Amino acid sequence: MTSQLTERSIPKIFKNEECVHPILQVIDLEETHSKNQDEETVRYRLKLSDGNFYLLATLNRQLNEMVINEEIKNFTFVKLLNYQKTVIKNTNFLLVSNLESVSTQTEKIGEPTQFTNETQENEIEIEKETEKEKEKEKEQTTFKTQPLETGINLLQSLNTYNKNWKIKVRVTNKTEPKIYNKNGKQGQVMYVTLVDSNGDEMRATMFNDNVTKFKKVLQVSKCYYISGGTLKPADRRFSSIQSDYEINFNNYTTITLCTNTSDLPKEAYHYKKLSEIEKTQNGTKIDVMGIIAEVGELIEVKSRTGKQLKKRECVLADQYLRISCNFWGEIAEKNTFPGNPVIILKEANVGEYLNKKNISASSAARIILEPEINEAQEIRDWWYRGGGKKNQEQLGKTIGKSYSSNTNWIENDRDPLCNILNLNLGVGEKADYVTSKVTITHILHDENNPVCYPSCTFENCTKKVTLQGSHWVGEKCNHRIQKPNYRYNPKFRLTDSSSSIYATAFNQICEDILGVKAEHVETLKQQGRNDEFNEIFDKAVPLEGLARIRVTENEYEGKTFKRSILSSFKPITDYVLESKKLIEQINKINEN
Amino acid sequence: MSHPNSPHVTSKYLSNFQGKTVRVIGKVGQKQGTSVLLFTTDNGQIWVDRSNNLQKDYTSPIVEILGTYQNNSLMEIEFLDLSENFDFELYNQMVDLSYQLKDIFF
Repeated sequence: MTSQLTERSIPKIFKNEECVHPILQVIDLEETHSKNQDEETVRYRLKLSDGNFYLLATLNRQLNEMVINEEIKNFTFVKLLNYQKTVIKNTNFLLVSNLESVSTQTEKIGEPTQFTNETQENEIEIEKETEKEKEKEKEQTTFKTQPLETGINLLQSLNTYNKNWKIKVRVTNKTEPKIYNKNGKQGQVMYVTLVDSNGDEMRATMFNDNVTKFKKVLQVSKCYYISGGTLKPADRRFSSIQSDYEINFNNYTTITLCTNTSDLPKEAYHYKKLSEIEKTQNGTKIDVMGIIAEVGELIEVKSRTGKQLKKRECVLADQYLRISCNFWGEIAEKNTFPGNPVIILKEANVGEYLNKKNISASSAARIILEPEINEAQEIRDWWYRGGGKKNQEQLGKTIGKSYSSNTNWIENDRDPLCNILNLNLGVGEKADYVTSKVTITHILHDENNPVCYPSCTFENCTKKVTLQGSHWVGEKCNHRIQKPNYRYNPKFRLTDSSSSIYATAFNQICEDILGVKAEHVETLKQQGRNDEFNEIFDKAVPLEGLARIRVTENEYEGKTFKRSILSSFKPITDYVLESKKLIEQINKINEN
Repeated sequence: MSHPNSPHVTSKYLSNFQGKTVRVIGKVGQKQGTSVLLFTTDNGQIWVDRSNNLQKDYTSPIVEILGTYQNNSLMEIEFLDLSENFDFELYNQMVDLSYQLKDIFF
């Protein structure tokens, strides 16, 4: 086992710092003869190294024997037991009076240099640097996770791994309990927005019993200690809050009122400038600040479902832009915005109408009137100096493309599949249609995904029927029939270079692509002829072609998602047309 | 065709390919001895020297010639008959694009 040289022992020895029995390496051992009054004395001079630095040393004469019998020779590791440092002619020497050999070695360790006064000065510099680095590191790891009050965690530090957290927050917003239907059962959900001493916001949700439990407890603008609950990733479609997580208050959650509120801010003044709306995705939420430049009358509008909704159309402006801002429901009724106030509008929806961006605020949104921050004052000052009177750029953007139903859809520009999400298609009252060049890569046909359904045989009726006793009855059409037809409705997986989606395909398209009627496929399935059944679907793919996709948005368990239907599909036959379209698209990219 | 590095060119790019093997698509024009005049998709023309490949005749009015460009003419190595419906305009645009986007094509 080789002993290691004692690190940094040479500098320590040099500086007369404590260094107990360091292990050093012998280098350049040489014999010197000096004549002193007819007596020739042999002394051994050497360099002692710690791997990085060395000092000149001389062995006391009583140690000469160790050299003669080769206990000490070049490269030997030695343990210094007793020594004295002297300075001769400005050079530091070690006079070694006692040492012992540790192990013989065959080579010099490292490339040690002589340690002098200069080296010492450099060393001090390096030491100072490393100290600074260490301080910085310490600061960075403790900064922002250090709570201001002991035992309290900052919202920023919450994650799904640590279950024992306790937060101290102020409630800045609370929604009314909302009732929803899931699988025939009724549930209720409530959301609150929390802000902590660091100014960070986070949303919290609670369901059913926990709504009942907490809805009286949690009051807007009051502060609470909260612990217990699960964290899940935040859904940006429902909240503009810049937090990675949301908390779910469950049966393990305890909430206690807190009176020591001096360290909690009154509000979280997070907001974006109006100019950010242009690049914000439609269907997401945003917080913005601006002055109410125009206020409309409260009007009533009929919704798609026939409900009467209250609406107030306003214009929100800042020094650079104006934007249509529409308030709905209670928030429209309650707010008349007298005197052109500056507001921060939180949780507004970003939308688009006739190629112009707009924002709308419904019950989930919140208004902070005349926020007490500098930027708000700047807007106010600009307004009073007559800023609003000059013509400003109205937020607008021309897409130049229509996503409406079109019989000549093959001539349309091709959209990559990713545009369905990127342009947030399908959210409007009417469905959006896209034309895409795709490949059908898979047709779902396993046990969880039936490929066809029994359908009503009445003329022009294709509704689903279910077996009730000896007859089949339509759930929606109420027709009674003896024996059903079968119609296709499998999910196709459509893929292009940008994305992949599932789209449901109906009878005609499937018959064309698969080459067999749904009846046949159903028979195969019922007779357990699985190999033949599977082959029909497996050999139809992959198939490249032009797809006409109808996109709408549905809601399920409180979340929205896109629903796509393959309304037409044409395998590519006109290569000249496709090539022309590709060249058009390439040219468009080049122009930009 | 076993010349993988021969790019598609039209007449305006030929000068860059002295001594190199290229593919040129065009309409067959008049004959003169062992040479044939080819009208390219960018309204140019190039003489094709067929002396090394006389055993086969063009059967389509539109052909693709694989040949070496030297001394202002294309020395034919092989040819391919193309459909009469070959879209000249489209092909021309494609060749131009392949030059703009050299990194992808060459």
